[in-house]
Amino acid sequence: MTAMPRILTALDASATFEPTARAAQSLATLLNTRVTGLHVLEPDSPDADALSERAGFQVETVASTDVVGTLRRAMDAPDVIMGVVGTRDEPDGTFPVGHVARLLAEQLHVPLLVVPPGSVLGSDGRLRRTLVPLDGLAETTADVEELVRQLMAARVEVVLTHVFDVGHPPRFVDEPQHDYEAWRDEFHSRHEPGANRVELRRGDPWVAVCACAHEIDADLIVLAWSQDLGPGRAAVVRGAMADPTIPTLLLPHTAHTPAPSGLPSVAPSMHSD
Amino acid sequence: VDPHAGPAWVEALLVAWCRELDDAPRRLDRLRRTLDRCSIAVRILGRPLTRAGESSRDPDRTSAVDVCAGTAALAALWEQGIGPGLVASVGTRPGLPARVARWPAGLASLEALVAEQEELRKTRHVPAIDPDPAWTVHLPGDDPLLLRVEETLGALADGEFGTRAALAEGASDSDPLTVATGCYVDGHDDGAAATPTLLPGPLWTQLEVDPAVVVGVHRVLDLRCGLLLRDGDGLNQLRELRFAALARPGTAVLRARARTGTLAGGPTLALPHADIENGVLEADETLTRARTSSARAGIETVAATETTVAGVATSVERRIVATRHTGPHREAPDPRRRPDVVPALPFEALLSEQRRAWAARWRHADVEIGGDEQLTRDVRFCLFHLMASVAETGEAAVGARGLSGRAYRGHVFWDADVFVLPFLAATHPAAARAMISYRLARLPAARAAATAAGRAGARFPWESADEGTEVTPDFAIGPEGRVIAITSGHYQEHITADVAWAASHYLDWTDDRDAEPQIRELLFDTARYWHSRATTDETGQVHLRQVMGPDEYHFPVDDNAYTNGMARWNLQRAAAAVVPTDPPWCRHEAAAWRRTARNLVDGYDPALGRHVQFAGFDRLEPVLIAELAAPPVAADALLGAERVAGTQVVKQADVLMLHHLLPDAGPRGSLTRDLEHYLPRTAHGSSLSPGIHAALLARSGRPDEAVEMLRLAARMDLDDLSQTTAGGLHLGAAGSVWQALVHGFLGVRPQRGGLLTVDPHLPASWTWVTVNLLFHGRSVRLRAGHETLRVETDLELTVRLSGRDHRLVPGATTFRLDDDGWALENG
Repeated sequence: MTAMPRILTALDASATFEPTARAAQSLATLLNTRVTGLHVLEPDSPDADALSERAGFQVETVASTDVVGTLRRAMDAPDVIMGVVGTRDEPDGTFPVGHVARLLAEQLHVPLLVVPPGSVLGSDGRLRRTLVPLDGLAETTADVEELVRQLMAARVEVVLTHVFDVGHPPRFVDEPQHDYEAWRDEFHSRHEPGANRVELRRGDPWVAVCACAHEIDADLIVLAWSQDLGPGRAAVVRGAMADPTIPTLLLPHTAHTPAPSGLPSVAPSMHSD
Repeated sequence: VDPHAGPAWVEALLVAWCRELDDAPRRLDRLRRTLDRCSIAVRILGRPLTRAGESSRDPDRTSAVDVCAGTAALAALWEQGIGPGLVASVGTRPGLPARVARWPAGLASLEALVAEQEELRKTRHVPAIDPDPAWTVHLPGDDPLLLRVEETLGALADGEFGTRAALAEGASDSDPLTVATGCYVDGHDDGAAATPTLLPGPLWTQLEVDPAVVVGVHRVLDLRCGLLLRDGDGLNQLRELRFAALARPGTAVLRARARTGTLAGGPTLALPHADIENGVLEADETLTRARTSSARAGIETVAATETTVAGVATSVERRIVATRHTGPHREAPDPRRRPDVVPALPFEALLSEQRRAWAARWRHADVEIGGDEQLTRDVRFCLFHLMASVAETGEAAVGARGLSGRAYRGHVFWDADVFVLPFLAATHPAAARAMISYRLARLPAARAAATAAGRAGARFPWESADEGTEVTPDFAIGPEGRVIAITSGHYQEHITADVAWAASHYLDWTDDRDAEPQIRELLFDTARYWHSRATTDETGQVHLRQVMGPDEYHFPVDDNAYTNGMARWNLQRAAAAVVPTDPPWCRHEAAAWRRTARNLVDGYDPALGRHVQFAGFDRLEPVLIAELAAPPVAADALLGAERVAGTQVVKQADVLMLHHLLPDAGPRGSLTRDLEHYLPRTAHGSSLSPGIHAALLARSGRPDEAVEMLRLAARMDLDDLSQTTAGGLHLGAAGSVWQALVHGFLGVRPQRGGLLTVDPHLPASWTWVTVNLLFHGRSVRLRAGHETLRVETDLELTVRLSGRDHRLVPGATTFRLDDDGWALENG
């Protein structure tokens, strides 16, 4: 018998616990699936029952010094369709902010929701508005297509954004009063005609995406990426790891989990980000 | 052998056979019987294929193929729009192009071919096009993201009506559209949406296709004949040919064929999207009629669809006739009252007419670049759409995107006057005249605008629609997500001189005496505007303050070199148009114009040997574009308008645009210095920029750099470089391509008085370049190589080469480049 698909969230006893658990629960509700938690035991860790009671869903504990490896193996289980991980609000002195999230994001085959401390996913646990940055490549669009469709079906407002930066400059703008509108219209048609609107921005991609997310009061940022954080690549994802302010869902293009109806799937692609 | 060829192909076949027929006259009777069966009549070498005294043939059925055999026949057929790819040779001949199909010799072979043609016509096969790579653009249809781009690239227009290349079965992401020149509907909402936009007309290209295929539908645009062919390779094997009849604007035709059971005619006409409130759709047994209208205009279409089922194949044929009207509260003339109302003419007749019409248009417009077939094709793509986008009668309101899309709302900019019109003035004067008529008819509105601004004369709007008033939107949402004020309608006053320049340029090419009186009025009114607009300082210098030049990154500025230079030319040109018989006050006015022009500062700094773009430009941060981003780049969108405004980075040719339009305006040597100074500062953030720089680089003796700019301009839409081609073609950029070739690489300039200057500068990668022109009613063909120049003319012509004037007699004259410049060969 096939296990019911689930979202697996990594939890610890820090300040990230509540926002991470709530975010996981919100997405599980939205996607009509269940959520479980996993706590990798450290000295003085609370027991599983206490964590489960605090989270509102089942939390398992595993004793290991290899936190990332343990989480990765658990999240790669066949019934896990999405991982959730929080980021601490202070560097711990050994690793940079978001290093667990970063390592998981690079290795997981399923989408990973990164939840910054103090963030709230949606209002009253309901996701209202999502910002989807797109670089204009067909592969990126393909990666987010199914999720966007499901978000729209769940009456979540989806706003696309594209950032003009030196790496992706607009070549010609003859008359701004016509070209920006034409550009937005065509970008919208090409990349997610179902989305509610397109917001153009310029400058540093992550700064611009963050600013846009705050301006439109987005609850969630959805990023498709190629799991390559090498030099010069994935600037927006890098920013999302290092300076998270809004929950960010990372969709690895290599993750193609046959998803039950109502669950996000990520199509294989030639994503080059 | 193409099994889908039409009667023209049969004609070609017979032409190739005429020599054999002469050798065997006794076979004529047999051949005549075959031809009679096919309803095809052919004349060979001027003799009808009938016996002496016979007059049984219906003259309407007699083809006017009046040719000889072999390669000469091919040349004659070419003039009919029939390329070698549509010709078969029965028996082989030396020198035939590879694309000519070879059939076995003998009358039996000929009869078999004719019989096949008869069958193809009966069953309504979809004809073929000549697959010449220098004349065809392939729309692969394999990328769904480019669906709307291909709809733009394959758009078909007849000068008055344009239809995007939507797939017959439709697609959810498609943007089907038919529009008519000069027909607008009021805007709504705010910003750009508040301004008038092109009125969508009834849609006519939809068919019922099952299974519908929207990806992988390969189509070919035949530039030579204005045909769009879907080749039938898709899943449903639907083959379709459609065209907008150039010879009879408003008429359009499609024929489709597919497996029986997969194709039906479907709704013959459809109304466009729901926001057209005044749409009417009605049908009777034979015709469907649809109308869209606004308070400003209306488009009415009548269509007939015939479906033929022949065994396993079903053919659908649709013919439409559209009419339009402009102005409020008037019905469009009922298309059914037109003499060519559907379905009077058979498809094959319309197709032959279409081929001939486009062949005739290309006769005076074609270009060819020896050594670069792809660039030749790309340039032809630009010229094809330029020709298709402009009406040749009445008024031609040529929007920035022509008749190919919704972007720019059909608004008319300087793109029309300065970039599109020169090509038409030199190749199809009737269309250029229609463009001038559009401006002339809006002279009253321009006078009212000048009066409202407290000026004299006439001030043309930066953006114009049907009424000729200013329709530039007030604001846009920029890439910061914030509202940005749009002030080009207020500051970009050079449009007034641009309109005057275009009218004068038209006269330079055409010597159209009939148009001269009206153009003179336009020159006077625009000169009056500049005279009243200028201010004189205490030193007596005259200034134009608070303007915006073509470089829209900097505004408002004082004494923009382009604006001042064009205004000065306008004043001088108007003064020169005053004749002794004009009233005294007019001569006094002319004297004042000359005085103002003389004292108008032009930005030229003798110490620097170059122009300063505007007062204070050299004090801006001296940034070169390469320090910010790799051009072409829309620097304002990338870096922000404020950041760019503080630098010396310019959007497009500004000072250099003056050199382009007025080659004699600057001091000797200033073009070279200005090019050296401004090119590294130019972002080319406008699609109009690369083509103009190509022209100037070529003129400056830098043709190898120029050709790269030319390629960029020629691929503007083919590569969707702006990522907005889905909204329509960049007609201004297309016009700049022709200007780069003719004014730049060939150095052609029309002079008043009937003198044509030629000064070729070819890049190393070209072996030669050929252009066809009309100059003062003469057909002129120039073929320039690196060391030779051949000039063909059908009337006497004076050309200036290397400073020397040569009066040429009709025929061909060859010049050779030697140490002293161009000289008559053997002269």
